[in-house]
Amino acid sequence: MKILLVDDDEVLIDRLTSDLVAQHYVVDTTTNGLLGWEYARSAPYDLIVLDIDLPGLDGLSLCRRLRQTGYAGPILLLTGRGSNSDKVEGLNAGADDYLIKPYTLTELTARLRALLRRPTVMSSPTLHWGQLRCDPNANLVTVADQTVVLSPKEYGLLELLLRHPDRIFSNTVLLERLWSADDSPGEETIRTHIKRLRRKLKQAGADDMVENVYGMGYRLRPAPPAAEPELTQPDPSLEQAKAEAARAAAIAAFDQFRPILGDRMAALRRAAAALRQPPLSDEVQSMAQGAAHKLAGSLGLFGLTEGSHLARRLEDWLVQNDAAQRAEFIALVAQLDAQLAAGPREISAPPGGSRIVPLAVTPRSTDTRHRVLAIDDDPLILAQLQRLLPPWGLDVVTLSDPRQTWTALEASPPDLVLLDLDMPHVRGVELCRQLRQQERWQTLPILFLTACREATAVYELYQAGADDYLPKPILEPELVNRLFQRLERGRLLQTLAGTDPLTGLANRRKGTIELDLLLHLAHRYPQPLSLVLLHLSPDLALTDSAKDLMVGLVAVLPTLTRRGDAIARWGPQEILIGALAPDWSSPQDALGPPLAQLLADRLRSSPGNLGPPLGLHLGAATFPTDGQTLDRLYQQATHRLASLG
Amino acid sequence: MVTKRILIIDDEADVREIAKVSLEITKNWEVTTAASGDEGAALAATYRPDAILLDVVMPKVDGLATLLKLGENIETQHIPVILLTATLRLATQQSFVAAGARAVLIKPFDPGLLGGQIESVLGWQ
Repeated sequence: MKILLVDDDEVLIDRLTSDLVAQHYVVDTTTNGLLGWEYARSAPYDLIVLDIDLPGLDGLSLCRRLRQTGYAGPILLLTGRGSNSDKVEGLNAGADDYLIKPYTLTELTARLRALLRRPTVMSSPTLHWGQLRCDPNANLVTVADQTVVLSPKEYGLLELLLRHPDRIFSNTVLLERLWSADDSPGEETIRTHIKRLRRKLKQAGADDMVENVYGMGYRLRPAPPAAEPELTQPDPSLEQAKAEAARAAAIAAFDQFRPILGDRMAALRRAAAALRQPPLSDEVQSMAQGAAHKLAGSLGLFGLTEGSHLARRLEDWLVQNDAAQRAEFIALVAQLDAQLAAGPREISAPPGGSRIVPLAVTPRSTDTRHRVLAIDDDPLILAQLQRLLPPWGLDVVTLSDPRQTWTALEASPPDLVLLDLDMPHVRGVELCRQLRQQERWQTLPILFLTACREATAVYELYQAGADDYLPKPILEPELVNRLFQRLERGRLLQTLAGTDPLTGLANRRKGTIELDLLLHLAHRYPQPLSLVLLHLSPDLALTDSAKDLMVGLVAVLPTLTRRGDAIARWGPQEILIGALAPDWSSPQDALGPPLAQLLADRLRSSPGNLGPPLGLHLGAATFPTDGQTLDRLYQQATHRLASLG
Repeated sequence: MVTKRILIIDDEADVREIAKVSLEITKNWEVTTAASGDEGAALAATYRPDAILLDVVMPKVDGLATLLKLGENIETQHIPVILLTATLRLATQQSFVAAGARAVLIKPFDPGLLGGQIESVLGWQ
């Protein structure tokens, strides 16, 4: 079970965390309300504990925001306030319970347990699977009354699977549910924990309890029936035999449906013939599109999985209808014709199996747009991505030649990369490896799109540094969910790292903490604090030359400031510097001339630049004369911005 | 074990037949089929299945219209519906979520696994 604690009392957080971790909970903590919001948006929590008085965003507002955005888990509010109106306000904000300080740790953990039990539908807190019993209160697992000793992570995995017996957990979800945001173990770690858990369960007599759903993750197998204890031995061979019988029956029915399938194939042949001798009439195209759609959905039923893929490509082609590529359509029709004529051959499970997607997708906000760089030599896949993703706030830059990757990355740095596995010139895995070797792209989410589901290939792409992979053909709900999962995780990692990816300076979050600390010192030991704002123009967007100037500034600033001064990338075009008791009498005099010189050098080195003119402005404010708070000082510095050079 | 009753609504005869055979063989469930949305919605009210597999793309009364119809009838509004589709555009997916569909099963499915997947997604295990 994963808990988020948001409280600015670090002593309390430390005590509570160690107590909860000892009870095998996974705990994320933060002292800031806004960061609490970021955490809650980025990972699923089984319970959230909120203090009311929080910096950044107060607990009541955070609680309201969580409920408004669909968080359905329990929320416990902690507070020093004890009046009835405060309690009512807390409960109205969506909290499930309310605890007034001071309280004992025992009382708090008892409340947490009560809240965690509340949403489960089980009448007993003990979880069962065949002869296995799991008591979350005692963290005790037994099989046929024999205790099974598990590590905390193994226990966490087992409890999670037992609590959600109908759910498949992907590696990504397991990472988010069972590891704190500070840990970021590889997917291999999960495999190791699952392997150990399986071995221990097997030794204890609960064999084959955790199922690996190939390409999707792990889930609990159905428990053996409890009403007939003498028959509790699971019989996987019987299940297997039934599955094979069903597949064999489907294949046997193929001849019965050959005429229907043949009609659909004929519609595609007519379209191919029309494309050989254009025009392709709307009627023929529409009939062919319907036929391709139906064949895509049905051929796999008879074991003709490859036929389904071909039909899906034909359907996509017909949606795009790119006459220049008509040879491809004609070739695909011929391939499909051959597949259909040969008929089904195998009885074994089709690779990748069938997919069922629960419809619990919450609508995503489209107010923030993300950029996705999609690299694939298949124009149909690229066209499909361009059609599917923009409505979700995902702008797609497509690239069919992987050799142009570096140019594309520089031209518009993406928030996520989608890579094909097999491409001419550069293999997807090799490209991924090269990206990961560069510091700048180490945290960039990379997902593979691949029709290949061989374990060795999947292992290789994780080894190369990929974050995830999606099987082709692309299913829209799965694609969008996985992309957002990755984008949110990537964003959180970057925020937590506190580093601005372009400049390597502190980002605004980390910068705020550093500047607040300097301001605190300035208050405490009455000293002046100089706040210097550097602003690059043009304002509309950070052009390549502006980026160069930003990087140039970062190189020169350490020579103009002292150790201990805070320097942060404050905004896309802003750098903010805080200097406690500075040596300079005027920052304009101290920083202005060398920075103006830097700007002049840059302008001289690229005279032919056709973009809007590059400019650099400086503004400064001093504590305490110009203001007492960071906000006020920043405003003053903004008002005083003056051009350098 | 209590036998489940399943209604399959799909205009494609091959999909109907394979799903029916698959559920009968692997789970021993009782399966009835309908070839159109109208026929399916009417059958659901009398047959009272434990779950409905509903094709999205059908002529005349399509999947969404059928789902809305099932939702309007007090006899059928509680029956869990799993959509059957070869592709699902998200614009329509939101409408299906709003109309109460529980899951989407992507065609083609594996006849050997279909029953287990239905059990799993509907929490029947």
